[in-house]
Amino acid sequence: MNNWHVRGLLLSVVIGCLAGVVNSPVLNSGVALPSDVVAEVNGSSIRLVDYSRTLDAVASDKRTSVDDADRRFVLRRLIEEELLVQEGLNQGLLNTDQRVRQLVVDTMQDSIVANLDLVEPTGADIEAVYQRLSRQYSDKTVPELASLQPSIVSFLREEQQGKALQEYILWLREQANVKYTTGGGS
Amino acid sequence: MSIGSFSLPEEHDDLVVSYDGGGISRIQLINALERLQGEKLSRSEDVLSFLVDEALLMERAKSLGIVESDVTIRKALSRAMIDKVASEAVINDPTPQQLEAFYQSHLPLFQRPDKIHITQYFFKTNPNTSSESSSLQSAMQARQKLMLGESIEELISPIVSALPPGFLDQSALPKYIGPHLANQAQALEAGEVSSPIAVKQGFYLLVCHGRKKGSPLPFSQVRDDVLLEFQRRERDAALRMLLDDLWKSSVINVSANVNFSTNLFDLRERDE
Repeated sequence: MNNWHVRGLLLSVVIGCLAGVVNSPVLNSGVALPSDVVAEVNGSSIRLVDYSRTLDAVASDKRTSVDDADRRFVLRRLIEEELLVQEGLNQGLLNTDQRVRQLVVDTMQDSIVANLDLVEPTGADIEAVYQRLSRQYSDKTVPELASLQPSIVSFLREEQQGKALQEYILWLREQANVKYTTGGGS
Repeated sequence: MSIGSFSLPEEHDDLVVSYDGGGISRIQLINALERLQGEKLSRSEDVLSFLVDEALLMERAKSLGIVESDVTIRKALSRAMIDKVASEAVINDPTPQQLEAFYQSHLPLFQRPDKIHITQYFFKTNPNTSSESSSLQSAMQARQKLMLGESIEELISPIVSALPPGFLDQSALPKYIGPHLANQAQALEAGEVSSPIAVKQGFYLLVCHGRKKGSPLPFSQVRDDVLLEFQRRERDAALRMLLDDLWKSSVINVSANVNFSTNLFDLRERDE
């Protein structure tokens, strides 16, 4: 689905918000901000690169070139997205919305794994896994090592990532002084 | 309750696990056990351990600024905020009287749509000559022929668009030919041929072959649509109100480098 359709609800309310904009006593235009910032919302920056990227998306949706109305629309939309993000954080959505929470955890895990300096599995490592597999399937015909090698390499990489993630979480636990008050846990 | 940038759950007196700056309450554990029922984690110890790891990763992500800076998380947060406002806005169904009154006051929304039958011709400018005059001339000639009811295929070879044949819902027209050309098409009477419409690569001609006026559908037939539209507007109004309040209570600075030819927030320039 087109991004613009996904954000249709936001789009549909932009016009109605203009009244609020005009009445706002704390809207300052023409402010000297860093060159890579187009606006600030309660101290948080809206970056020029995000503004330009969104404007480009609008341009590619249109058959004609963008005009001032498009630029105003894009800036308002980015400001409103920032307002909604800030309000979401204020209302504790990080704790209460399971989808958002899961996304943050997944993103954090991805960033831990992405920064790993993975050691390439050696021939001996691959052979050891293959032997383990062969023993498990002793009564069946086991495919040749060559055909299984890519899967074994992936498995060994994932294993490294899993270990690193576990170590990272253990480190977090040590730092955070985790205490179980009802027994159980690890 | 919060300590620094961390928050404690409301039921912090009933914590089953504590860590610096937070903890997991009994209620959270019970909720997680229900949520994770049927998944790999079945023992409460495992679920508790999972919750602790999740909480620590969350706190770490917050302290590293990932929550505010990651584009996907930001989108999810704003989406979740919109969903929250929307779900709170539509708690009670409207009464039958409210719904019928809404239908009566928004009749144009609940009718068979206006239809239009359009053909679109495109006259491409030759990119090698970079001259528009040839394609414009072709478009003008074709327009004359079309107005006289003559065929234009023998004279020139315009590219005909892939518009579906026959009558189309007027509201669907922008999907096929874009908003700019759709606006031009709306202005055409049945039997009328547009003037050449300039675009980047050439000129368009639009021919309106006919129009069919929409007619209202009875309330009993569109009751579900009326309810959906009623609720949609309730949600939009709630979101508008929230955003309105946020605009008013926020400090917003727009860079001097943002240079529009008209005042950024000029109501007269609002995009209808």
